[in-house]
Amino acid sequence: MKLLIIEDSVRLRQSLKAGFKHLGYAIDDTGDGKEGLSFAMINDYDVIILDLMLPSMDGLSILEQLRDHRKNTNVLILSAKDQVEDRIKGLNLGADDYMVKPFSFDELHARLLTLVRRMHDIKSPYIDLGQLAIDTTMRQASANNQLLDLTPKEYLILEHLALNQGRVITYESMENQLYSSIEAVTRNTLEAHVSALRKKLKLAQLPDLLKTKRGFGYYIAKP
Amino acid sequence: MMPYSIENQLGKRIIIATGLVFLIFAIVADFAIIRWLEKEYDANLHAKAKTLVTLTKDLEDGVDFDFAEEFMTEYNVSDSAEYFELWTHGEGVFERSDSLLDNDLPNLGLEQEGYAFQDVPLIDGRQGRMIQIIFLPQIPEDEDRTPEKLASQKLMTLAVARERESLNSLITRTHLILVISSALILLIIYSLVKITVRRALQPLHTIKEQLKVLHADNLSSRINIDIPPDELKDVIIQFNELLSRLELSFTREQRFSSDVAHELRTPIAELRSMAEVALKWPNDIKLSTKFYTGVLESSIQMQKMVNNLLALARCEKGLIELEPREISLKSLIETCLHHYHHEATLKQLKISSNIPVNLKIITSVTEFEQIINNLISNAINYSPESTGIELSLSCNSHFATLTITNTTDDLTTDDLAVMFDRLWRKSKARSSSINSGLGLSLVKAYTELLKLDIKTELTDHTIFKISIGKIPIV
Repeated sequence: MKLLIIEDSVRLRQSLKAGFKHLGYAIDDTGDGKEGLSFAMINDYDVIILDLMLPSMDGLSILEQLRDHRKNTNVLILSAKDQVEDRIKGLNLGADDYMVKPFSFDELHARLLTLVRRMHDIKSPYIDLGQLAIDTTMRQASANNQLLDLTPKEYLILEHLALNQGRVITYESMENQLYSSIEAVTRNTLEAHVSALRKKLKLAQLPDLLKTKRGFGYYIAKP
Repeated sequence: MMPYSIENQLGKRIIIATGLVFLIFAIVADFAIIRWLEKEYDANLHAKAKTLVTLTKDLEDGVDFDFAEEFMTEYNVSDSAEYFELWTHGEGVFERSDSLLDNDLPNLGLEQEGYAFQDVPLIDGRQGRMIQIIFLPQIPEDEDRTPEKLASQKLMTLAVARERESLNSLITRTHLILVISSALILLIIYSLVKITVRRALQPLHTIKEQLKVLHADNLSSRINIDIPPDELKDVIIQFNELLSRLELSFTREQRFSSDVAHELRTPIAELRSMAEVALKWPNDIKLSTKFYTGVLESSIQMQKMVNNLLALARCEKGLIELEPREISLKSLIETCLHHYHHEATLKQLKISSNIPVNLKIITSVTEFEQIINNLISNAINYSPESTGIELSLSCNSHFATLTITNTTDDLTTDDLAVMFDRLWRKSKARSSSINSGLGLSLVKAYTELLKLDIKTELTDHTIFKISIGKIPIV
């Protein structure tokens, strides 16, 4: 999952970035409104965490511009403004969720996951792939009721492919999901993560789950 | 009990006053009409009596009363009879009308020529009025008019009486007409006064109705009368100005509450987020160490804000005890400048001042120092790099004015009106952790406390001047 955090409080931005990085997410972040809009227009994110009062351009204007340009990225507004009118205004302008500061990190995370599930039209936090089950809330996968010991990146690859069952995820799309826009990543790094994941799946007696479409990318076939 | 109202009071008083005036007029008119009717009645009676006097002639063979009853039938016996009786002085009744039968009219006993009126009861029981005339009967020209004859003439008394019930009835009708018309006129006056007072007070009712719908959430409404009466013009203007001030204060108060919440929510969110993330991954020592610094910075930011808010509250409640004493202005300013030397150097700001060494001022130093510290800090923070800050002083015999001038690149003249509001910041992002937006509010509060003047000026959108005046000098 790839997130964009547009938040002008440096300390808050850094703590969120650190927390989500620990969860294995790819994070882009900025404290400036115009720069945030530029990030959001150029890259594809699963969710944008958007503050409202920002230097150079306020959050609602960013949201308006995104929707005007038909960018359907999930936007979660994270603001100190707690008035009902502020929430209504934000949601009416196209925000997908609204959270008031101060907030719980876990709740924010849960809401991000909900937005991602909604994006893939999935209601349950559990993804059932027959012998393999993924708990998106606990961020863990189990094969034949045995927990798999996955690194955050390996989990993300598995989750992303599972959420997009039957679709080939291109290398670029996968890289985009795993790394922030400023990180320099080679194809080998991605292949190393995929290879490690395949080994763990093989050990769990699921050797054929993750498939490669040569020259395009990876996919998990629909049952 | 009737509620006290201008309309009732005004209406009541106008009605009483006009009613009283009209009542006096009605009584006087009634009196005059009655007098006129009685006078006319008496004049008529007098004319009748005179007619009878002319019929009385003193002839050679004695007094002759040439009365023809067929022409004066009113003196005959009837239901509406009139009466007369003629006496010769010293000799008794000379003649009386048939209508008197054998009765007499009362003799008033007049002694000299003349006449008098009197109300008398008539023999048929009716109320009557009588005239009695003392006269000398006429001597025809062809009769003896010698002095002896004239001297021997005897005075005669004529009494003529007629009923006065018709007069009484007319007087009663006149009274009745006056009473009824007075009542009607008073009723009309009452209605007119009520309508007039109500119309005159209509603007007040309009104001009342407009005030009724005025609430905290629609303070932008104003009292609006199409054609306001002169008496209310000033009231409306003053009230609308009061509403404007109230609206401004209310908006400021609302914005202040929301700003305080926002100012506190963000550092609290920082603290909570840093703590939660650090607790979630306790083995990430590098992260925890970084967050310790963050927690300290957020705490200091919150502490500064709370301290400033408390200082403002103390100031506004008058809880600060001033301790005025003499101090050198130059040394005080140099101390303040020393605090910000590092920041000024980083921005390559050139600070100049013309404060004389020997100038001493009398002030409460703690609060005055806060003012100067805040102003210098602001000047340094908001000046673009490599510009200048000037501190200049002007004096008269009693007071000094200190002006701090710096360059700015984003202030507008509109900002000058609101820059002293609590938690006002030029940037809507409110993301600065250096300033809380309370510095200038404190400056304003302290200048008011120290009875100093404060003025701001923006020239060419780039030169900002802030002056502290009325600083007492030794």
